[in-house]
Amino acid sequence: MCAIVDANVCGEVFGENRNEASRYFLEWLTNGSGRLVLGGKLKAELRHRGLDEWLREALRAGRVFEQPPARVDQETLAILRDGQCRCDDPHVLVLARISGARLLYTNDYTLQEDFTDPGLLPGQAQGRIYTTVTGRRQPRDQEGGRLRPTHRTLLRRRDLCPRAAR
Amino acid sequence: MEQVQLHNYRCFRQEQTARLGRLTLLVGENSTGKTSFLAILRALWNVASRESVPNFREPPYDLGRFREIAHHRGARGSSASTFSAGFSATIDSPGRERKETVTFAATFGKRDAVPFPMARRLGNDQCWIEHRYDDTARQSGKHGAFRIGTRDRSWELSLPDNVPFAPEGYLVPLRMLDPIPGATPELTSSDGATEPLSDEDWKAVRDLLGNFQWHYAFAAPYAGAPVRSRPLRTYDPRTFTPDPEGEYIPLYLANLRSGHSAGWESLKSALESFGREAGLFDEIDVKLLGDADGGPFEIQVRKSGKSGRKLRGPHRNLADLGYGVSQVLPIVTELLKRDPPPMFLLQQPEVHLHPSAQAALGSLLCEISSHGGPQLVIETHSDHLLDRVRMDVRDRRTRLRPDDVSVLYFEPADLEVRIHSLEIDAQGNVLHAPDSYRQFFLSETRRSLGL
Repeated sequence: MCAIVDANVCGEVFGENRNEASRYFLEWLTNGSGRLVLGGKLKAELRHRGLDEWLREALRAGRVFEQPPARVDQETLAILRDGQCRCDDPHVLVLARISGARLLYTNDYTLQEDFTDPGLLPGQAQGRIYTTVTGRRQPRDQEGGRLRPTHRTLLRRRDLCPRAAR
Repeated sequence: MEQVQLHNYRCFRQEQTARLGRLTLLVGENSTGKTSFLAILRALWNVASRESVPNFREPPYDLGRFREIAHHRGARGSSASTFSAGFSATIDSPGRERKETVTFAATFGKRDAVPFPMARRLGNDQCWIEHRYDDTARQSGKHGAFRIGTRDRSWELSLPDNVPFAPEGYLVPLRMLDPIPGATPELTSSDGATEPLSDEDWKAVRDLLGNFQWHYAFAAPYAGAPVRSRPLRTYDPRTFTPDPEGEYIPLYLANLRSGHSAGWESLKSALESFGREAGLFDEIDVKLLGDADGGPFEIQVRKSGKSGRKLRGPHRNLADLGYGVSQVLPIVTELLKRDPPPMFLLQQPEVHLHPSAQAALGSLLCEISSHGGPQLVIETHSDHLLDRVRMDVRDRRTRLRPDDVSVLYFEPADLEVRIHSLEIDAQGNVLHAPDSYRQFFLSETRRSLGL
């Protein structure tokens, strides 16, 4: 199954702000059945954090799938023209549309709303969110990063990425 | 060959299928059956094209006797009594507007302690032909039995005793089915019905046989050894016998240089192009040491300065260079020769090469396989070669399309091995990789980065 990681949580997954839930996600990605769909912003963030080597190895291992930048840019413009998207990360929705991935790791509530909107992400499976914040107004704290049963359940689902199921 | 099936062969117990592309890269840990896979490709080719009994000990492969080749799980009595292999291919069909897919399969039994093709079956979507030796036939020296089938019926045919036997080391030719062109042999329907094979069905059988044998009648695959011959300071012309270690390559180059100037110039130019790309050499030549052809000779290479061709280094003997040049030269020469064989089976062509040269070799493989040239099946441990193939496909450096490339991952599982057919997409992504693929490298990288 493959997921998309919002560049804003890159530090939580790969950097210094790791918590129990993000460690579980990275473990799933590295030693489990996880696959990652990669676009421009996250790629730049990984490079910025000096994780080129991990990225290269994950690409070789078939754990990361890059999407064509030109197509991502083109469809991002189309989404912006539609005016339906409320978040400021339309490229994440484009990555999901192109790849079929329906799992997103993000703590951005507006992006969560857009990603779970069937109008913006049509398809058999509705978009699902892996997050370490528990409510819109709840500040991020120690509790938010705790590994919860929903985290485990989400990473066990095999219907959120048709590509991996091929 | 587009797909290969194996069952009970070496470490491959379960029946499984591997997809071959124009360029196929075999990857996986040591002792996971990659070389065995190459060996069965050559064996299948020999059975299909030459109708010969394959020699599983012919260099560069030495798989041993039947008991080492049939799958053995370790416990007493757990050896397989037969093993099977087959392939499918798309071939031109003069009788049809489109190409047709044919399948060929062989079942090997034990005969005089070595594998023997007890049964062969050739088919397409219209009909099939099968030849089978049974124990009685083996003991009495008979020809065995033929069967012909259409979609819903089958017939049996036994050759009369006065038909000559195949020579030692060869199988009963499938064309024996049709000894007299235009004549219809006596067939016995296996379902008891008396209706004979129709003229239309006979034509389909003859077309299948004719097209298949025409397609596979050409030269056998080239099988290269993982270790090539040591370079010599001076070569003395000897018998010209092609070999998997490339020992004959210097003589081949010398003969070409002295005999066919156009062929030599073309090959020299192609070798130098690769040499420059790989950073190995800029010029290559054969220096004849005697007055006449047939005398001793040297292989010499020369490097130029990067700032321009005015800075040219000395001619250097092949023996004075590192092993990289001498080990890759036989492989590259074979790949760039005129009239190459239809298929190359190469083991670790990258050995002794610097990563940049390994990458250049990857580009050369893409280039050669993209022009409708030979089919390449390459066993490799080189990430640099594989990366270059991915990037060249992604960046469209050649005409090689993503579906022209197949990566076969040999995954060990207990005492068996499973083959995974991975693909590369237009972005250079690796598709269908199982979780175990490159797990070691991912874990090492994560540990190295402190993730």
